[in-house]
Amino acid sequence: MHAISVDRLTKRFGTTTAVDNVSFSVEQGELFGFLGPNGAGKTTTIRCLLDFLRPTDGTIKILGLDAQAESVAIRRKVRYVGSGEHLYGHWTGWDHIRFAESFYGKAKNASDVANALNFNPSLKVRTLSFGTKQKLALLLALIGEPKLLILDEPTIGLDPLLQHAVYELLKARANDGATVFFSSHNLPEVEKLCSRAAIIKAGKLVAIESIRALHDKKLYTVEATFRDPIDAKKFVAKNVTLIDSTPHGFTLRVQGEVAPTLALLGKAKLRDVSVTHADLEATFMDFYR
Amino acid sequence: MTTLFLRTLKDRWLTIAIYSVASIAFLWLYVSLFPAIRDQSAQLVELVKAYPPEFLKAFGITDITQSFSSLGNFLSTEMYSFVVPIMLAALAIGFASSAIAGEIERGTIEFLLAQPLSRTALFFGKYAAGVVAMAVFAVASTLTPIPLAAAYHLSLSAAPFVHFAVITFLFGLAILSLAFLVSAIVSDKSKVSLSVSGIVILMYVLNVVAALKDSLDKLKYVSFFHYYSPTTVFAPGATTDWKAIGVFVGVSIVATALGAWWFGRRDIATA
Repeated sequence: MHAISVDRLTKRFGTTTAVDNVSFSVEQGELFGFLGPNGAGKTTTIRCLLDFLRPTDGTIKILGLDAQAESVAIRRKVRYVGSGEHLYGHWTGWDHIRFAESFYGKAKNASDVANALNFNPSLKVRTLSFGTKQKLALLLALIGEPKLLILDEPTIGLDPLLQHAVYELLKARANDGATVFFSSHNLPEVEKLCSRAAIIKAGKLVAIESIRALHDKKLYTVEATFRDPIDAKKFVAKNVTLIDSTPHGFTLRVQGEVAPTLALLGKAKLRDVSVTHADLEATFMDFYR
Repeated sequence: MTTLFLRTLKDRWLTIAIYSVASIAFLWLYVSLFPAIRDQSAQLVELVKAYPPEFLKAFGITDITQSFSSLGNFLSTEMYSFVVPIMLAALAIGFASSAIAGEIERGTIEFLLAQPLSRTALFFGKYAAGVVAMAVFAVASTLTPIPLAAAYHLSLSAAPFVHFAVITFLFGLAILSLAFLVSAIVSDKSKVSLSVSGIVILMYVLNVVAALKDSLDKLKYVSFFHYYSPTTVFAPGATTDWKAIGVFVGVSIVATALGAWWFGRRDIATA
């Protein structure tokens, strides 16, 4: 039995097709990434999984149950993390926890998770920063013993240290047998956490890849300047494209492994160099036309 | 559902209390003034008689001499014909617009929908809290004169007040149910407030127009204000107004069932 099984899911809003004939499945205990640029259809798909939205066509099974007909039974086993901005401003963190506990039963690990996230549940939500609200949204998903976690861009607004803490908590849950479905528009984040990822663009699923395969598709922009005039063409290779050049520098686009290019740069008289990840949009433009 | 019902009441108790205390304060004022006004009723009747008959008809005043004959009639003219329905409608519309459309607008509905709670239970958990709000306000605004009259040593028959409490509660319930229906359809709190307020105002106007022009008399049947008639309830020899009760209960059942059905099948997307 798959943790999630989506078969030919289509969701239209009037004449706009937000999700178009999408099929994928997620194994139990898997950390599965759901990648796509903003507006690709990630949130719409997740809302269909959770029965917030009703599919125009297709079927969804969660833990072997029909996502629409058995949505209440599904939500007993599933936790969802959306935006921390969608919590009650006049409630405290504890109010949210107690409310959730009234459905799921007492969560023994609530204080532990709050400590791991460095979150004080006694404060009213309206007094919290955006990132701290997001901590509460995560806390609510991580308490208890859910079988499946569905997270819609959960680390937005969190600092890198806290993002790392969240990744560790999610990995621990996966080690305990829970399935994690993690949507993001951030490729490096999915790389760090997930074993496989589905990639969605303009409502269509363009690939389901292992993280290794995604790594090979990563794009880097390398900008370098030199003390002496340089022949940029010497740096062009099968996976390296010259974007721009001046007598003392150039900009390269590197697909996949960037180390050989950096090694080559190290042999020249470098003045300055910068390496940046291309964003997911650029990656998609390159690979998933 | 019980959790949501109790939590909704906890979140809204202050609003319910403010409305109820305000209506009690109004009643206290009118009850305390009543002995002095009753003593000067002859002058007041003469004064009011000078108004155009259409004006009095429009406000449901058929026999001005009756208005000062008892505390019930006095309150029905001064308080129950205008202040109470306005407050009740405002409370019902505000409650219902926040309950569903307001949750969607703020995005907090996601937190509720993520819990193992069916949409029907969510709708009725909120609705039940609204029913309690209507009941509390109806009791506060209609039954408070009983102890107040005792405190001011005024004679009063409790039966019409109890009858009127039922009518007031059901009038509020009908507006609440209509507002819940609209709230279940749209995702914008202000659209609920504007549309249902518009419907209530239109009903009021239709009732006034029907009273002024005989050819338009039948319009009164589509107005809640025809059935919510304090002067009828407090008139001497009045009996239980089953027609009003039937209309309000019928509208409430139909609107609530439609609202729950629509809410159960709609897409819910927050910003």
